[in-house]
Amino acid sequence: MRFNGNSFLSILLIIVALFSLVFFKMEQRRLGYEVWQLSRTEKIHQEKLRAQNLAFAKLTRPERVEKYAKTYWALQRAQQSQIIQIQTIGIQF
Amino acid sequence: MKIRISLLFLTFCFVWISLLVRTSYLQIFPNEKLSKLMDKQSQTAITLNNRRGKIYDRNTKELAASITSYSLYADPSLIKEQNELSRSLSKVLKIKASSISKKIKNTKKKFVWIQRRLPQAKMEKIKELKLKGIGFVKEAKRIYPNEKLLSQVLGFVGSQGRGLEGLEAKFDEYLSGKKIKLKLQKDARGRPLLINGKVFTESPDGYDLHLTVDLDLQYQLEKELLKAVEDFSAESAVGVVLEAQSSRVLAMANIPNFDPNYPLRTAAQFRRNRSVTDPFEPGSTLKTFTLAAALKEGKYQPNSRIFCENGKFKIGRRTISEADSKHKFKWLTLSEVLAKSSNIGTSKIAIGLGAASIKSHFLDFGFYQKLSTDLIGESRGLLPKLPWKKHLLANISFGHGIATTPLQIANAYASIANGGVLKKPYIVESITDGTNRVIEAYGPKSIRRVVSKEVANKLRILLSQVTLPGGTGRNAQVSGYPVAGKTGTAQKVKTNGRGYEPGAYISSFAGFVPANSPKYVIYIAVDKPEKAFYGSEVAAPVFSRLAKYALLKDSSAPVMVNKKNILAINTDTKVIQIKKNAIEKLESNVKVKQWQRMPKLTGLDLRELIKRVKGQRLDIQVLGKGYVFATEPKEGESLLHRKAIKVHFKKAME
Repeated sequence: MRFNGNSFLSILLIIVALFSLVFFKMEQRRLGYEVWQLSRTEKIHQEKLRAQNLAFAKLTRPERVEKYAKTYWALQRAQQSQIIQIQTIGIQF
Repeated sequence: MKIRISLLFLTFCFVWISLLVRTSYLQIFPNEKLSKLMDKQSQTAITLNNRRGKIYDRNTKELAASITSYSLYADPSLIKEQNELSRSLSKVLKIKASSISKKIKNTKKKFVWIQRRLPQAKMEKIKELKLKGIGFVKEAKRIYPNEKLLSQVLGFVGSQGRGLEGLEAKFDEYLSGKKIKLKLQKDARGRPLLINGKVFTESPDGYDLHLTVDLDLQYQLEKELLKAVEDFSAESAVGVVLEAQSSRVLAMANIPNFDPNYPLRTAAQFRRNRSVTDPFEPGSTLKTFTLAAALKEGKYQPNSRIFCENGKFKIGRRTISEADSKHKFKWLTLSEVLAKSSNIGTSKIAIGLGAASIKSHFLDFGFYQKLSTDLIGESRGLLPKLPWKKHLLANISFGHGIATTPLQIANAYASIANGGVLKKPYIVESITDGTNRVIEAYGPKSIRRVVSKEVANKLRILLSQVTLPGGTGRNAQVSGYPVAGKTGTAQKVKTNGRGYEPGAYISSFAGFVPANSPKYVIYIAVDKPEKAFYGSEVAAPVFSRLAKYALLKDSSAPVMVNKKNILAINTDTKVIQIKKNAIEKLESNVKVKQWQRMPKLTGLDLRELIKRVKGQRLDIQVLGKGYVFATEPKEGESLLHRKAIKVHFKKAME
């Protein structure tokens, strides 16, 4: 019996194509799971970000900032005749 | 044998063909029942839960947001060691173990809440304990991080997540969002297979609201109103700040306010936005619009003289007197009528114009009509039907017998400030989705022109004189900036029965700054102050402090009263020429006094220099370090009409 190279290659090609198909199908599924998992992680992080943004908003509310500045940094409101020096060209205070 | 084989073959063929036909039938022809069965086997439904949108101020600071919280429940029938569970939970929840034990005592119950709306951190801590018989349910929680700030405007949401008051109620449709249910194919373990891109593209969340409000200005307004209520032992106070050119609401406050995180702790009357819901008699702040009508009709000019009857003006059996019984004015010009807040002068102007004309002009200025579509529960106010008797017309002309909301008054003043156009006040700038795509955008909208530019400019000058020495609004002055405004002291109408409550007043001030180029329109009203009651004593100082804060916050340069600024508020070329000539004539006659000349500053250090020029309202440009060696202008030169001086410093005296 003579070895028929063309037939062999054809069969090989079909087998490789079939395996590739299965492989890509599996890869698609695996990536699907991964994306799903990542989307869940993203959701958790989004949730954390929301909570942190809210905490930040609470911490920086004007009333608190003013109270904090008055208590710890000796902030005083500018008075009527008070002179406030602001840096201008060529001078440093 | 052959026949048998043939029969067997035919039987097989028949069976296989039957199976093939049946299979083809099932596959090709639609069958609802089978489709459902197939879907059930291979599909899973997931729900994308909606989350309420956020509310931001004009600088994208969060005013309201929703986060996921976790409500802890227990199934007492599954709990074996109740005491141990109570002790463990009490440590995390920071509540008494006995109170938890009480809740889970009845083992016949299948479901009891232990604590609602816990933060994620606490939920994770409890999960780490791995306790049996407890579980969590996800619930959305609305948070207002600034607590009482802007509370009546924002409103609040109920336990079911629906907006019940304020913007939360008005824009509930936009804010709430909609749950989305998606069907996905699942695998053998029930995990969804990613074949539906909608999971990523569809968002069930509500839209975000972007307001025109400035949070810092809002805080300052609320702080000042609270201070006024405390200082004068008042019942309540309201305040509105509008952007002069566009009628954007920059701040809107009502004191007392409430914490929308816990709305039920406050009485309902303090939860509504009284700046738009509660009309009251505005008092003298309305005189401005009677005078506007007079100028618009052309029957009066700012220097027209009116006889003010020596403080008593009889109309039939009734007598109109001035707000302060000591005031017995004789002849006043129109501008003095406003500056001195003469009731009699205003009444006579109104009688001269007639009731129909006054009513029509008041309607033009936006009274007795709803202005904003953003704010819930807005009142039109009250304006009696025509015909008006003479004494009623007189009363209405100075702000009694008519009721307006604070927003209406502020917006009417804004129309004068912006050059005569009544604009629609609004508080929602835009609505965006989660990706910042603009769904709806709002902007300034003109309703109508109410007075010409020329009349508006005249009114601005008249209102500026109210805050000058001799006017009632001196306390509203802001150093460095011209202020235009009007005081108001209105008697309070009895809530039951006719007439006025004795000794009860609403003190108010309405105005705008800077008068020459208005940026902010501010209205302040303090209800039933006890320690003083004149608008000039109670509301004007609040206006002054708030206006000063607003101007400093946006770094508005102080205004020097000079030729340019005076002329800038009148566009009529003839008037400009007349004024130019008058100013030039005045300048040529003015002798420069000693204190108006450049003093000797050479050799002074910076501190001494500042002491020397203090109070001269000069901008000093400092150049170099050390001691003064030269000045521009030079010593002894005139300082008249100078905005700034230059001072050159050297390191050491030579």
